Order: sequence, then C-alpha cells, then structure tokens
Amino acid sequence: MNRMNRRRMLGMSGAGALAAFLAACGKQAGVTESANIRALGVPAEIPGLSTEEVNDVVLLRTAASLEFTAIDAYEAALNLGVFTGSAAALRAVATRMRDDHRGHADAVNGLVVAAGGKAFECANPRFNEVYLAPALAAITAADNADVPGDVLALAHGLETVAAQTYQSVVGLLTTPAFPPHSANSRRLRSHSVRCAPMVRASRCHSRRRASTRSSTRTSPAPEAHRTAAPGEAQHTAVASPVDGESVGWPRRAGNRASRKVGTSQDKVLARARSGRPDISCNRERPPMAGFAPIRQG
Amino acid sequence: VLAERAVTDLYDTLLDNGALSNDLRQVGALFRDHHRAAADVLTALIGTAAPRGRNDFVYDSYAAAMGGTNMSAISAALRGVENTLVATHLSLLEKLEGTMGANKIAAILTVEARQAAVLATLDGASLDAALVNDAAALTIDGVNS
Repeated sequence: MNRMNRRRMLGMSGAGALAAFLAACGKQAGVTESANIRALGVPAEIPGLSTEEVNDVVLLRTAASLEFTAIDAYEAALNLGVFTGSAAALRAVATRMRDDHRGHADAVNGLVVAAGGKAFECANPRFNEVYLAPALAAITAADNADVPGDVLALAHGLETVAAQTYQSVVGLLTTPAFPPHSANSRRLRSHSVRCAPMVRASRCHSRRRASTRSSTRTSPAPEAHRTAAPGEAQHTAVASPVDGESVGWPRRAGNRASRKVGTSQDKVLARARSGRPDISCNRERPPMAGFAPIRQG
Repeated sequence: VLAERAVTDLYDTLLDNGALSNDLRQVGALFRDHHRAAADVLTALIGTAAPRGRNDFVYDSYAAAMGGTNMSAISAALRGVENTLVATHLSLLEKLEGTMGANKIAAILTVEARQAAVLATLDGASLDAALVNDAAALTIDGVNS
C-alpha cells in the first residue's frame, strides 16, 4: 500500500481514461457502421441521390403521358353526357381537342422512338392520382350544379399544364431538332398552347349562356390569353418525369447538334423515381373509365 | 427583335386609329405591350449587338389594314402577323444552341400563339382558324432587312 502513492494513482487513472476513450471510438462487435458523420444521438440516414439520368427520352415520355392524360380526360368528359342543351356546341370542341391530343401523342412518341426510347402510351399515373381523379370525382358529385362549366375549367387547366410542360421541356432537351419529326415537335407545342385559350373562351361563352350567375365580363379575350404574373398561383409544369426506361440510357452518337446545357450529361439533372420497374399500362381500360354519365335535370 | 418591334408599331398604329371599342382597345394595348416586352427581352439577351429599328417588311405588309375600319380585315391581319411571328419563333427554336435563348423564345411563342387564338375567337372564326397555323416563317433575310 505504501508503494501506491498519489502520483502513481493519478497516472493509472489517466491510462484507464485513455483506454475507455479509444474503446468508445473503435468498432464494436455486432454494431452496423453508419455512413453518416459521427455525431451524438441518432441522425437520419442521408438519402442517396438518384442514379437515373433524366434525358431527352424521359422528358419526351413525360410529355407523351400528359397527352394521354388529356385524351382520357376528354374521353371521360364526353362520356359524362353533360354537353347537352346550351353546352351542346362544346361537344365538337371537346372532340376536336381529344383528336388533336391523339395526334400529339403519336408525334411525341415518334420523337421518343427516334431518340432510341420506348413509346409511352398511358396517362401520367401520378398526375391522374393527385389531380385528375379527385377533380373528376368533385365534378361528378351529386351536388355539383355546374358540371359543364367545371369540365371546361378542368380542360383549361389540363391544356395549360401541357403547354407549360412543353415550354419547360424546350430548355431541357439537349437535341434542338429531332429527325424526322423535328417540325412536329415544336408545332405541336404551339398547338397545345392555343388549346388553353380556346377552352377558356368556350368556358366563358358557356357560362354567359347557361349560367344564372351575373357576370360583368364582356370579352373572353383578356382572361383567355393571359399568363400569370410572377408569384401568382398558376398551373405548373409536370415536374416528375415518367421513367421506367433502363437506367443510364445510352446517348445516341451521330451528327445531331446538341444544346449546350449547363450540366454535364452524365450527371443527374432532376430527381427521378429510381428503382421502379417499367410502368405498364392497359389502354383497353382507361383510368377514367369509372365515371358514369351524369343525368342532367 | 426587329419583327417584334414592327408588330409593336402595328398595334400602335391600330390604337391611334380610333376604330376599336374600349374593350378591344384594352386587348390591343395588352398585346402591344407583350410584343414590346418580347423585343426588350431579346434585346437584353443579344446585348450591344442587338439591332435597332424595326422590320419594315413586316410593318409595311400589315400597316394598311391597321389604318382601316374594317374589323374583320384588322382581325385577320393581326392574326396573320401573330401567326407569322409564331412560325418564325418555331423555326428559330430548332436552330438555337443555347438554352437561355431557347427558353426566352419558347416563352414568347407561348404568349403569341395564345394571342393568335384569342384573335380568332374574337372574330368568330372556326376552330381550324384558331388552332392551325399555316403562316410561313420569316426568312433570316426578312428578319434582318
């Protein structure tokens, strides 16, 4: 006991503390290493970046999906049987719009195939889920007094989303011209742009004729063509690309001119739905087929 | 830029004409402002190399109709010039390599295509007249003349 003096006691306790510190920092049996930076507590796992590339094919397939969304929506609207009486003239407009979207879908899918991708022939599943199906459910509700007006409002919204999606895609495409559909690729965008004010104008005319609501609007033009000011609520372009193609889509080599996009082509341009299998669809039964015709009182 | 300025001047001529009702004057002034903004945006993009003045070919082609009182002729002329600009912008989109210019042109194109559709609606024209653009694009020489 005499040999355990105060100095020796302090020295031994320091060595013990050092050993405990090293043990705390070292690996422990049965404990999985975290990829996170070491910290006190349990931090959330860092989600990894998607490894999918949002390329021209993905953007074009997304555009094609919106065309089929519009086709299904117009088909559903036509099958509701609401274009009667004062709204009968709108049936021809809706039919024309649906047929135009069919042409657009074919043109866009032609571009997809020309770019080396697989045509997408279904409505956008996410858009249907979060927007179209709830909207149609609200429109077909029993207490809705203005079904034709709301159908036109929905169509106007769809056309605006389609037009703005095309507009946003213009700056993202790396290939300015897609042979052999290069003319169609831009013209169909212009065509979609025109549909929105046409539907809007039809809506205004319809409400003036059929609705008992008072309206001071004398011309549909200003509202029909206007675009939203910065910060104003507006329909936005569809942001989630439709993927399902194989990851790392091979870029076609060739003599195509390429846009000088700001991001390297082997980097992720946007968040995509990674890990999902190819989205399959069944055109035999459109997603909107469940809405029954409405009996007009 | 030159074509947009020419159309701005065309709308100014129409508004000075006094043939429009108050409602239509508001529409015309709004459309003119859109074209002026388009010219300004493109000028800013080009910078000091931006051309000055207007495209006289475009202005002279439609100025006579803007000075008249025949509303159908005015509407048809405006629709024609809007469709011509849309066709021109569409042809430019394929040629542009930079995304900034493409984005600007796409935004301008959106507004002008809508304006053409609205003009057809106001005139009571058919769906084809509103939705189909048969106008030819201005050539590079025409734009620079």
